[in-house]
Amino acid sequence: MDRFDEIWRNRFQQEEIEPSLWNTPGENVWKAVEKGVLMEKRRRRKPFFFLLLGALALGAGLLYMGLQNGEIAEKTGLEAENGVTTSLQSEAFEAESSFELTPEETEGTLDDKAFETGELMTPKTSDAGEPSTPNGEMEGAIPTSESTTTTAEEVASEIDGQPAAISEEQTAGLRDQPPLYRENTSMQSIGESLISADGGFLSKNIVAGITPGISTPEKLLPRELRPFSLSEIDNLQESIHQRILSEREIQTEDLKSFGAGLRTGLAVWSTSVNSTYREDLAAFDFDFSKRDLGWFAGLELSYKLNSKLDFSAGFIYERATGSSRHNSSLKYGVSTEDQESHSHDYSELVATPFGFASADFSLIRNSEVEGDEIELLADFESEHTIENYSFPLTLRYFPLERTGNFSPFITAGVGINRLSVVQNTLKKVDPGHTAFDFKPLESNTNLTTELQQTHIDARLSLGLNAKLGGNWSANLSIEYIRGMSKIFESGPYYSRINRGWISISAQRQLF
Amino acid sequence: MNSPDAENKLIEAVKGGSQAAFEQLYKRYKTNLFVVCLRYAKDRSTAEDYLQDTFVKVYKNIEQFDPDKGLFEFWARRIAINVCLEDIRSKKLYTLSISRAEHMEFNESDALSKMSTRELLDMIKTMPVGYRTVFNLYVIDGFSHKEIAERMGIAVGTSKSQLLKARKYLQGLITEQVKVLNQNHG
Repeated sequence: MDRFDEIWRNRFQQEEIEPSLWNTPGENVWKAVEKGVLMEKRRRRKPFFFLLLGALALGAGLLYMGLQNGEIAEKTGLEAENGVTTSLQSEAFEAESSFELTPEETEGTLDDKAFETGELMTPKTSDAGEPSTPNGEMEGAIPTSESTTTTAEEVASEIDGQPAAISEEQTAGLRDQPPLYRENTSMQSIGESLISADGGFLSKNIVAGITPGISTPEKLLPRELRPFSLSEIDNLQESIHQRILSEREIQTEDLKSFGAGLRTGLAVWSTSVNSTYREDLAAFDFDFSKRDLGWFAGLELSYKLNSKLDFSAGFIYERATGSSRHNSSLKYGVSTEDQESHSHDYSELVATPFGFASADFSLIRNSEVEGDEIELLADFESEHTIENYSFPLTLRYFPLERTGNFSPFITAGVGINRLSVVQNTLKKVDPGHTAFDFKPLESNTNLTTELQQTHIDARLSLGLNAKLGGNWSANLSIEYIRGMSKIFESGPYYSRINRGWISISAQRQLF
Repeated sequence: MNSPDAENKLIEAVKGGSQAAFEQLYKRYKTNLFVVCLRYAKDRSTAEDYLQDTFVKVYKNIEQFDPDKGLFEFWARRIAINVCLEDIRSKKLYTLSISRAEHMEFNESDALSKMSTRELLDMIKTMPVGYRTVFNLYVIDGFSHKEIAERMGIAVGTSKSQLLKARKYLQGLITEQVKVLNQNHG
């Protein structure tokens, strides 16, 4: 290398270049770098984000399936209940609906019934394929209305020579019944069934027998074919209603229901730092033992799974303020200090459990010191404010069921958290030397960019539920929340957030 | 925090994702790396773009930095040079001059050593891109002609001839400046 090349190389490669206006990049460069770094961080966090999204989707899916099953179970219960009502009350319903018929309509109904009756009385092959007796009497069970779908004419055309079961006179007799008779058409239907079984003779008597005020030929019938009296039907209906009501009352306790409410309380934040931070004069050497105090408030939704178990989800905002301490060495050169102010400006990293804050400050020399370079063991105290959003998903278990006004419960679950603000302000620097004073310059730093803002926790709580009347209830609980994911990591060091909550909530059952 | 140990702590903090530590690193090396970018760029604005890309790449690749293999500054300089060359190559900015290098006697080494860094940089910037890039790579940043040829996609001979022409160009500029100065003083 000749002299020419050597001069160029030394000038640009080996010599320290003093910062000046021409070789200092503009402010916009750092902003652009920050943006680029932020994008890179987001890119790195994508796998975690998708994992979280997948877990949330799975949870939502399971919850949806649970709700669907609950609805189906509820519907099935109601259907079963309705089934009892339908089967046992159908005749009563028929009677009620017939009250609304006009005399003409009643006549028509009776005509139809007569036809049906004729149809039933027509000897034909039964569903089971067994032939009826030649005289038209049925052997076996009385046919139900469902099995009589063909008209009398159709049946008559199918079976030659069989007379109509009800004569014109009988039909006319039915038509001529007074209104009182028509009020008891429920009994008619029962009677009609019986008519089908005994042929023409019984029909008149039975129909007459079920009519109030007319003597009953019940004794002519076997026990199972005897019609009900009106009082018996009333009793039956009453007992059915009673049974349904009592079943409903029993099931109300177990019915699934939604509730919503507000929750608030006090929070104690304890940031757990793993590995040792006690290397001499290292940036990590800080005291993090102070606890941060704060509060939280939010919404809580719950879904009652059964008498002992609730599922609840919520949205909680938290805010806590605390401080941490950090020790570091600072070198103060007397000969290189600012000659006018007798000071040095510093730009230091301040270690906190939530990451590193960048702090600018000055140390001012207020008296003479021995030596040119002084090594100061300075204590940094910084104050931080944290804001966090959490989405707790928990199961609440009532070991003693919810029978009385007060019910103890245990809650377990997970929380998905998002740190929204972590601000760190350098409060003071104690230079540890009486000849120097501290002067803050700039130290307010939002640290969220270097934190894992989304973090997961596990929760366990003990509490007491109190019924307040109406659909309202209140919960008082003590909750321990343990951080499961790291919020900050640097080399072997990492920190997690653990919290303690004392909370009170009021909740109303919505439906 | 100027000792190698303190610097390693800072780099460890950056590796841990600390934005504040990275800002400290930026503050510490922005001047030297910006000068590297200024040497390769045609103007200040382009140099700022190079510097921005350099620091983003430093952040992306900080895990690969091994303090046992060398100083951080040298590692970061390499990244800055790569960023500059990448841009120069992708935009085909360099046009190799075909003018013949004339033999010229250079006796102005003293005058050269007295010039400020900024004056030297201004002279570098007046050179055609091809000259400038090869001169920077070979003379200042210590690359061999083989490495330059590979990086720029040119023949080794071309690299050598470009360097020769760049030297003569700069020597001519310096000689002219010295003449002007002598005339002004005379």
